[in-house]
Amino acid sequence: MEQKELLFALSEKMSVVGFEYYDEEALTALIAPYFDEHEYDTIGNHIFIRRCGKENAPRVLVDAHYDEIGLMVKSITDEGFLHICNLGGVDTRILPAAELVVYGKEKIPGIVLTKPRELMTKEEKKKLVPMEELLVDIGMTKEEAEIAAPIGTPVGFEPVCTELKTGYLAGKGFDNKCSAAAVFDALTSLDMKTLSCDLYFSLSGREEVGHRAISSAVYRIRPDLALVLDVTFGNAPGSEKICSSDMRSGPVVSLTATLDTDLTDFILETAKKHDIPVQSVVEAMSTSTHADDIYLAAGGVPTALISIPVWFMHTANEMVHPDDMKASAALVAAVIRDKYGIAEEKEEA
Amino acid sequence: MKELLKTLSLECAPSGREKAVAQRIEKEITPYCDSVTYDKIGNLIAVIKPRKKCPRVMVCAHMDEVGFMVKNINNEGRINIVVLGNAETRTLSGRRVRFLDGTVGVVSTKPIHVMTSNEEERPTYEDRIYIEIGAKNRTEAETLVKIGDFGTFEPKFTPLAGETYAGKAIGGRACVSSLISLIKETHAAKKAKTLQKECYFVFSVKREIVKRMFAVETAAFNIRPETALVLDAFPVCDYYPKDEKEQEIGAVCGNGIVISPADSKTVYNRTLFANAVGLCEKEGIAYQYPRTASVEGNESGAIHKSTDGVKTLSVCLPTRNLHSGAEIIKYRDLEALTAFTKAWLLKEE
Repeated sequence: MEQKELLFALSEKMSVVGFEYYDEEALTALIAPYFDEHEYDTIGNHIFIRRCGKENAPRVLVDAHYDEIGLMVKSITDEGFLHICNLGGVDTRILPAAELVVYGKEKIPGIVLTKPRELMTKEEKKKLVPMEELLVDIGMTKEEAEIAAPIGTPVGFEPVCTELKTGYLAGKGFDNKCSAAAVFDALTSLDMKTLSCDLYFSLSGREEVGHRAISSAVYRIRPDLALVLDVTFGNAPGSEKICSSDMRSGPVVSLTATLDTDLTDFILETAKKHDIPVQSVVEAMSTSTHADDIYLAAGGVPTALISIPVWFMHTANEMVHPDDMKASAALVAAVIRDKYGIAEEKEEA
Repeated sequence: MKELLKTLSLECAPSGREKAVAQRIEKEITPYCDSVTYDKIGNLIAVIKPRKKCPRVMVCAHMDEVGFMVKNINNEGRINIVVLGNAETRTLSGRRVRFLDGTVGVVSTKPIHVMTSNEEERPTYEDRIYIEIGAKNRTEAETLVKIGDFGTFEPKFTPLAGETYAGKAIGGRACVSSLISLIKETHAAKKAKTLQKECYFVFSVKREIVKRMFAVETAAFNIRPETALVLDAFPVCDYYPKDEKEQEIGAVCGNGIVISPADSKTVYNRTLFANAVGLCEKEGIAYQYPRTASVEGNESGAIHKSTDGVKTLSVCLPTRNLHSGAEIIKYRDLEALTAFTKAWLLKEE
């Protein structure tokens, strides 16, 4: 499966925080055939395993969170419009006139209403309408809406994926499904006969609301080593103040005091050795990713973080370049091969 | 008519570049008309006349839509735009846009993670955004987009529940589709020898850039009608509570066509206005008065002052999210508009 195809297929899946199981059958059909086993837990983690066949093999966890930001139906007005609330960090700014999907018993298309400028007062023109005042039009009456989209129903962005003429890909949920596609590519490219470790691929849940599920996955797996793939900010006007990275310049390795510094060094050396483009970023005391959690979970796991730069994070049109995804996959595969490859190659070296 | 509405709304025709829609309309109406011509500035004019001399009537709807032009391309390959017409800039953030040659881009938005609380409260303005097409630099960008190029919101047509339709430019295009079906009815009336009027159907250009004069003026000048009927979309905000003065609501989507006694550019002909209301009552066509006169006037503003004056009436289609990438209309309102135009042109003496 090409990375782009897989990314688009994953993007299409509904996995709004807390509803990671919504398209579970389709997810299983997509991923499981390439793995030996899969395990799903009760809080949104999907774990896929490849075995090397050796006894007591070390366990390597490669994590890419699968949940994405979204919304939830909070209440229904007398006219049948939906009030929504945030699940994860959706920016209110991208919502006026946004195309949404309300995931009730059926998928219901909805449009966020916005007040026409002609009818706004001077004060209103200067202000952003807060999320709690936004309304979603699904074309139904209150009675119909209460059955089709009762309060608590998750709401996501309409999935539309596009390849731009410059090769960039744009779509929703690329945070963090571009990492998932890269990890899938890396892990399925490895020849298990030449490895001395088992591979655990966690498509974990509930990252966007404060990393609630990942420690349970670690508890279940008890990994000996972990690599986390997530997205990071691509350079853009206004991003100077934060640690941002260049687009199309390879994966970003986090230099940080919170994670395993030896493993981080090893990753950078491996990239150099195999001529894989790589860049680094300093996130001294926190990476704000699953890596921080895995490092301290279940007795501690040597962990490092590799990120893929994206533009417009947390919008319905996140942009990523396939070259960065491919280089990330190559790096993950090389790190695992160099660390756990058996026999000939390693001894000769 | 639903298919036609969809087809028309998916075509891109920003003010000044209406050709795509014009050609589609031309193809659709030519078999039904005595003549179909363009005037010197691009208004598409179709004529159906009975043999004998009759009163001359003009019915018009505009073809163009809000959009943008490329103002500048910077060294990083990012594209600055200037918005055409009253495009709702607050609906632009993180949205997909399309240039007329099919190049797709995404409108920038700063990631919510790095926004200051001050920025978070402000809506989007055109001078704070750019379009990202993923070009490495100006040179690469200029192979795809040039200064002065036109673009629109990404075309998308979304049917909602309750025969509600959403899409870019759908309010204006619904009026166009109504006018097309009126042409077909007029053709039938001519064949049945019941046509009592010389009918001029105008599909006008450049309506959205209201800062200039309306381009339809030239058509009115050349046709010199005795009576004119203007079809247009009407901004609706029936989903937010009205203010103390009860003035903000405008009209209600689904309650029928909007017949205005006056707007900011025209005081409509009293006889035509009264007759229109009477006609709706007689024919059982749903209609409503706008609850505000402050609504920005439409092309009537130019037509009623044309030559030595033209008796003018405007009937409008209530449209939510007007001038956004996802305008919303109710199909029953469009049916009412179509029924009205037919009764008005072909039944009224």
